[in-house]
Amino acid sequence: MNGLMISVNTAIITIIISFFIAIVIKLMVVILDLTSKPEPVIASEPETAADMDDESEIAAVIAISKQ
Amino acid sequence: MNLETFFSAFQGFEAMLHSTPQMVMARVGLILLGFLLIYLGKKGVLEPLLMIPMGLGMSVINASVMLFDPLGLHGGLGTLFLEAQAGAGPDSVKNAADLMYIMGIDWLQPIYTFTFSNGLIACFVFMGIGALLDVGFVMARPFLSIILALFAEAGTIFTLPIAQMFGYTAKQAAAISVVGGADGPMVLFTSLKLAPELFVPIAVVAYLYLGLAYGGYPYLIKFLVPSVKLRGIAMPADPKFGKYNSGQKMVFAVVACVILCILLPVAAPLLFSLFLGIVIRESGIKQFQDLMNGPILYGATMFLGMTLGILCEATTILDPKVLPLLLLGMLSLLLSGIGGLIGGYLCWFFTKGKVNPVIGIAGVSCVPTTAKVAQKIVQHDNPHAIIMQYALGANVMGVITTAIIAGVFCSIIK
Repeated sequence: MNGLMISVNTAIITIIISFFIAIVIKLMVVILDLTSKPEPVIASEPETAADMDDESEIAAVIAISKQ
Repeated sequence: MNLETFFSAFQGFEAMLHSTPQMVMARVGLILLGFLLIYLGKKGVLEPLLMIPMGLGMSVINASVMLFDPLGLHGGLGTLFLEAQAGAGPDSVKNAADLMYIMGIDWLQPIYTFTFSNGLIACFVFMGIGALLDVGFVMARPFLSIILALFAEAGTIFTLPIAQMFGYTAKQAAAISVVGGADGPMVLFTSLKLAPELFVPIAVVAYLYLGLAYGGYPYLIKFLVPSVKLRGIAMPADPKFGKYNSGQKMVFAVVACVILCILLPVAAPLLFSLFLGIVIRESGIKQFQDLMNGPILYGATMFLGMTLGILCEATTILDPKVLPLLLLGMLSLLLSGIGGLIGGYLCWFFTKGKVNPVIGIAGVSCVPTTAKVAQKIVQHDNPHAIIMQYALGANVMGVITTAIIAGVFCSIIK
């Protein structure tokens, strides 16, 4: 099989499957939103450094500390 | 006593006397390259998790060559580490006997044969990677993530026909072009399925370049996004990012895994490994999380890096088949980086400047390296800009699109 044809076919199939997955994700999110119970309101406690294990939050802390 | 007798007491030197000058120079060069990889890994210029064991393996294997070739495959020279060609070839009975024989001699042979050459170590690494991934970012912005990830597959798509022009078959070209997906386990898996005869050089080239991407991509970003103002665009945190609880993320992981396995069963082992890691992360089972985040991920990564370094023996690197792979691998990763940044620019344009084009590089699925590179560059130009969540979404989706492409290659190329 010619390389160019393989690339074209692969690109088309990949785009179709990828957008299909994205649509499935969107549908799942909508269904999960409709079926999930609302989160109970909890009085927020101050976050400690130990809670911040999400990289985005660590990056935020670094950014703020550099102000 | 003559010089040869003197050197015969030191088998490493004796092996050099029995090698051509080019081979000796290549071995010395690779020993020094190994030192350089260790130094750059320690400094953080290259990914230390891979470069440190790989660099040490590379230096040691080229220093450890001696007059020892039990299977007669290398003209009298060999090492006590592993024999990548043991068990290969059409004569299965003889090869099985050779393999069992060499298992009793080479200390890394069981690791290589039972985890490397069958893709098991790639699956372990993917389990560990899955245990680190927060799919909430993908669930929050699936279309932005998928567009960036698709553009970042440009290297894989465009390199395949170019590789065929170099004289490779369709299967070999596909195995080489998957390097552009920047996903080490996927490269191992695809080359085992499509081009097992090129597995060793492709794996070595892929991981070497993936380690270099951390150091090289910042320059590409600065070249293609020269405007400091553009690089510093702050993207406000999407309130949806923290919205999904672990149960919802588990549902996503399970459904996505099953759908992808139905569509691409040939990639099912890797897809299952990735999503198993994600499910374990969201399950709250701490013992399994500790197992995935610790021994499985770091054990597999260490043995992977070490074995790759051991495979960088001079006769492998100097194989004439390897030089085109070095060029094609570099081209593939370069085109993927360029494609990702083009995707970033398009998203910036169509959102009227709300999306930072730098996050396009995170579509290249070297998780989480390229997301970290994007955040570092953006933060350098605007300390208040946090784009990590968006970058991680593209990163995660990049893993999925690379898996899709690998599965498509394995399915359509016969």
